[in-house]
Amino acid sequence: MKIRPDLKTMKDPYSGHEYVVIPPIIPDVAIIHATKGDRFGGVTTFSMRNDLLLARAAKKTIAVIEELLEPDEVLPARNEVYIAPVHVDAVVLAPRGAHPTGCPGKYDVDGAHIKAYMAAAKDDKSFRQYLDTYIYGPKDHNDYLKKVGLGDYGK
Amino acid sequence: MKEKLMTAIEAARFVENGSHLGVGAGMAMNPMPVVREVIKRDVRGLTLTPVVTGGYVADLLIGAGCVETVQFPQIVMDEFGLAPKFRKKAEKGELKYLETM
Repeated sequence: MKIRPDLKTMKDPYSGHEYVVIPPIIPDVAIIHATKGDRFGGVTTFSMRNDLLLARAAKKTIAVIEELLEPDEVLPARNEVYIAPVHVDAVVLAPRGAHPTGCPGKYDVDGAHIKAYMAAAKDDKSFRQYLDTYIYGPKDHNDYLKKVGLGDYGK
Repeated sequence: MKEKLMTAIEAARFVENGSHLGVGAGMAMNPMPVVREVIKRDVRGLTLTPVVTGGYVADLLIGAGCVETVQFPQIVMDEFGLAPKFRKKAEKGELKYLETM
């Protein structure tokens, strides 16, 4: 309560104890990255992450997918969960789409890129240069991958 | 069933000024192609909820000036250090932050 004075408390009518009540998190839009998906919105993601919960909580969900498959091929692997089309409103195909962060089993975090980001974040001018080079400059994801040296769609 | 395939530019239009945006975060599985388009659209005043912890995507959105409020349990760049833009803006009082468990 010291760090969240905005939270309210209420009395449990059964025990009489006073409890902190936290409002539900309902994002207008969620954006998640998925290992695979189909054109109708069925996708798979890692069960260790809370992306399934996020997709269910949000009013609209966009899933970026590493690989586009037929609906009957979108099956969760042992460490994955399936997110049903009812929870997904948009599917964007983008292999290597998590770069510069990692996609476990496919590629690791790009440490050199993150280090460059950390250095660029030190002052406003170099951060602006970073944004110009990697965010505002590339016209689409494929263009971005060329910029970071990963070629056409990471192939 | 409805076809939902679209480009990152089309999907980014879902996010408007003042939206509450939830984003898969940490230092893995950040949905970058759509996030980059959101930044390009110059969206402002977002409430950001990175799930589960913040990481590159949260720091980038904050640094690009898209975020007004962020709710989080933790925003770090894992082994690369603290989240630089988040820290700077929070210390300067340019960011509302709601710490959650």
